[in-house]
Amino acid sequence: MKNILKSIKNSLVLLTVALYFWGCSGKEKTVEPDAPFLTLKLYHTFNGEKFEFNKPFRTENGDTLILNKLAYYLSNFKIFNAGGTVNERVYRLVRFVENIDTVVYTCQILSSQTNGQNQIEWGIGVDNAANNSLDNFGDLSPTNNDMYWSWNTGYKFVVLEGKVRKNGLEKNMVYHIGLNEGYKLYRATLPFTLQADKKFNLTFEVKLDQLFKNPNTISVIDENNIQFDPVQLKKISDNYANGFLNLK
Amino acid sequence: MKSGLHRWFLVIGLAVGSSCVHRHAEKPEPDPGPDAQRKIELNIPITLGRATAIDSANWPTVGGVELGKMLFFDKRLSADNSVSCASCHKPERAFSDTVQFSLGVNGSKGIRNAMTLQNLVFEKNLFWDGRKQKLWEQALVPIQDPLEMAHNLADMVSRLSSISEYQSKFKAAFNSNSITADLVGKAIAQFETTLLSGNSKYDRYIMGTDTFTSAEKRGEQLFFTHPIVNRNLNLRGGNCGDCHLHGTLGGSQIGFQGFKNNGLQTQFRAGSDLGLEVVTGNQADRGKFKVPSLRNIAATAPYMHNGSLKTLEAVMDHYNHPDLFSRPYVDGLIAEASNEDQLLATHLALTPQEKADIISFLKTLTDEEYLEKHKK
Repeated sequence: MKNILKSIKNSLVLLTVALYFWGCSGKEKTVEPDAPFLTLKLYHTFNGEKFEFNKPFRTENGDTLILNKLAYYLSNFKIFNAGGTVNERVYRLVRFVENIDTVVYTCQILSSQTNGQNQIEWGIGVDNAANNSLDNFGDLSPTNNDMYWSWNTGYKFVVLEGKVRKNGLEKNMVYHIGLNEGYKLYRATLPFTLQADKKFNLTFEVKLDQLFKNPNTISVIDENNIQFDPVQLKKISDNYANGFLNLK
Repeated sequence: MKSGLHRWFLVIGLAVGSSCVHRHAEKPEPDPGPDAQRKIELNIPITLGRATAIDSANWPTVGGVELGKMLFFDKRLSADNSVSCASCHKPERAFSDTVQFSLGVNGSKGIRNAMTLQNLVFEKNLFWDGRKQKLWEQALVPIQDPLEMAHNLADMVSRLSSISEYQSKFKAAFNSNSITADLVGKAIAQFETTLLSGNSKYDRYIMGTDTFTSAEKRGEQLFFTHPIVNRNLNLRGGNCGDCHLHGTLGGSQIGFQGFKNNGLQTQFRAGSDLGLEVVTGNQADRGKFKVPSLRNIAATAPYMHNGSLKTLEAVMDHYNHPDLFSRPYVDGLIAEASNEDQLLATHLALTPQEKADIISFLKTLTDEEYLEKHKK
């Protein structure tokens, strides 16, 4: 056991040094001058209303939520059609601070993708490889990140904190959703055709009410503290796989 | 094994974001001015991570830091020449005070405990209630506070302007023929910006140059673990790491998320300290105070915003108080974390041994070099 630990430790020392030098170097990317350029933006709603902190919103179950923290990961943006695929290993920690359109990602796609309809894909959460990895940085950096649980549980994918009220009862609400099973894919077809040498905005409505319904109606007043329990986590993650992100 | 990997995980993260192995230098823009106005490099300990709140408009200079230090220790900043910044922020106590409420001019007492000063380049919201965001603006508040130095800024400037040593030092540091209140604040802030602490046993342990005892390791594990008791898991934890984050083990720097009501201030009458609510005007922020960095915590007793807890043992007992979870306004991250079944839990429910282990870990956060460095 000691030898295994020593070997892990030595590997990590080497990895640390390698990452240090890697972290200091620039990353070159091939740019096609005439390819379309995409900017991805988000805005947040609850029951179709503009979402705000410290404002009451009612879930389908009749719980009133007053949230003061909202953060989640979107990962691995992909855009593809028969002409090719742009698939980048990218992790974006979206923190709701003010209700403004948040630019979450920008990228240039292939000029060959200007023919025909494209599909896009976002991962909600952090994929298994990164979630179980020791060498994360950027938005996943564990040293500057309150979304990091621990090395053996990975990251909180979706975090909601605040209060829940129902029938005169008020409770704290703490939803820290994660674990590998909670990584979900969202796919959509672009409603327009991309053209060479043009800039496009892709805007997503993030429907927060969707976290609490379809397929699983959540009684937040009864389940006000969801952390680690795989059964509860699955109910929420099945919900955010379905209608949470919406390409407008 | 868990803590060992956690430690290496931390080192890797720090290394990627930093530029040398033990300390990384935050470099100012090139500046060929006179020596006293030469900007200095901030050698930030690598284990603290990347500084997020450096005031680039008031970058420390050789002369500014020297002047700021002189001002910090000078009682002439107070109305009756009796109190300096250092009277309440004692260097050998990580720039905190040994009493619950520090004494200002004429023996007046405040209502909050003097905060520790260290690693301020990581702190975006200053004071226990977060009412200032610029360090130099913060520095001018205690000078004017009637319960602290009780000095009118114009009178203070007039007094300093009559002192030839200050005239020459302000001229050298800021190339200014006149002394202003803003420059006083900026000089003090420059000195405070250089107060960096990151050479504790914990730092050396992270870097692999020191070892932890069994109790310290258990304490570290508990500190960073959120307790979970459910049908699948029975994970014991101290829940400290839910709020004390990053290399500084301080609060979140996102908005005011690093402000919590920890259950100490839950009854409010006229004149009660409302904390963050005074700043935001939001009743949901009632009784919320800044989550402080736990660096050098063993040297900064008494504890909490009101200095009401005299020892680390008392702090542990507070989070284990049988009625903690039922107190109004207590933060959800505290009230929803217990080592007992959450549906029945009323407090954190640590064992005496676990509390002692966490305290053992907290004592590894003491940086003796820092406590000695600015001692007069």
